[in-house]
Amino acid sequence: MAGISYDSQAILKFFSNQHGITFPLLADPKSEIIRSFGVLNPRGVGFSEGMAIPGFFYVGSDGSIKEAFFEVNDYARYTANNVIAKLFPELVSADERNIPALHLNLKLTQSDAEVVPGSRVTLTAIVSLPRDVHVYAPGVRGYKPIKLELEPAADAVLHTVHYPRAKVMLLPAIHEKVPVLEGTFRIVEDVTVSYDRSFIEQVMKGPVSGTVLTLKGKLFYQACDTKICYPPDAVPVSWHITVKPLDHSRAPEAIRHK
Amino acid sequence: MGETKLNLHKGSANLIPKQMRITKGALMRWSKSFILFIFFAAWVTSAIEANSPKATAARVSFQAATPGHASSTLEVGDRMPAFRAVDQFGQERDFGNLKGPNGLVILFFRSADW
Repeated sequence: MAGISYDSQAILKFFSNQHGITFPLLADPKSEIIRSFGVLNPRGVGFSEGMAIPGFFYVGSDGSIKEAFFEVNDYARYTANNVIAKLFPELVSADERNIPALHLNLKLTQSDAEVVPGSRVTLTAIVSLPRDVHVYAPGVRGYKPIKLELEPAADAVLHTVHYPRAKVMLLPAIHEKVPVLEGTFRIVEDVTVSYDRSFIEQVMKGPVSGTVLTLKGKLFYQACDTKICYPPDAVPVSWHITVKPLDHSRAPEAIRHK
Repeated sequence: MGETKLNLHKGSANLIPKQMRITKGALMRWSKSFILFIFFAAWVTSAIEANSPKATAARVSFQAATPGHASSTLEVGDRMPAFRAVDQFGQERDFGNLKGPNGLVILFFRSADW
């Protein structure tokens, strides 16, 4: 990964030393790269003129743009871990923990444990089913599909839940084809932490260690094996995200934007 | 004239004029031409489809993904513009020395100053 901003090399050096950043941060003080990628921020005025629209591009090794991750405004933004989790889900496993559940193994994880207001975080439920056991996939008729349902949260926006592609299974006894999920799969849902002024003030006044945002919900499912279908079940799930105050500190006066 | 006389009822290839016989070499050449034609037809079809409104909508437009922001013509599938810049350690960087086996994730951020 590489970062690019309109900051000078001196600002980037100071910032990376302060925060222990080791990946490359490229200085684009004339915003030439920013313009060539078409991400010059029209909101830049005064000393912020020339800044970029915050977001990510994933570029393949052949130089073609494979994905673009940009939010609707400057305050809500994908975290780097969120982007990595979408591109390479096996690489991200923050705060992974096992949840007791009948007939399946359930692990919860999230792209980020600590964020700032406006961050978009990926919450993941990793389901592992024993051999010859399946659950019904969303869209099935007449059976209970697996479903992740989070309770609405005042300080977070919930995005669409994504399920893996289902496999069609033939039930010979009743000559019926049904969509099912087998083996190990991930159910993911993004949440954007609030960037409302009142919430930001609450976080700024809260503990330095951060304000904990809890997202609760249930995983509904019905597991079946080759002989029987077990009664439908619902497992309580929750994710905790620590929201830290925004860092308003600036670079030393001699090198800062004027 | 026996050499040029057609007598298909006899069922003998030797009775067909040499120029009209479907030889193994000719069959290979026709097969190659046919395969090339199929590839050309597929290429024309894919080019037409790639420019259809449906295909255009399927490509994730950066502009569409960022309502409220400045428009951009850079889209998923486009070539990334070449760039070269100095990083915080003073090293000159470009795509060639930044990318890994899977490519590169580029983060654009507003500022490290404010």
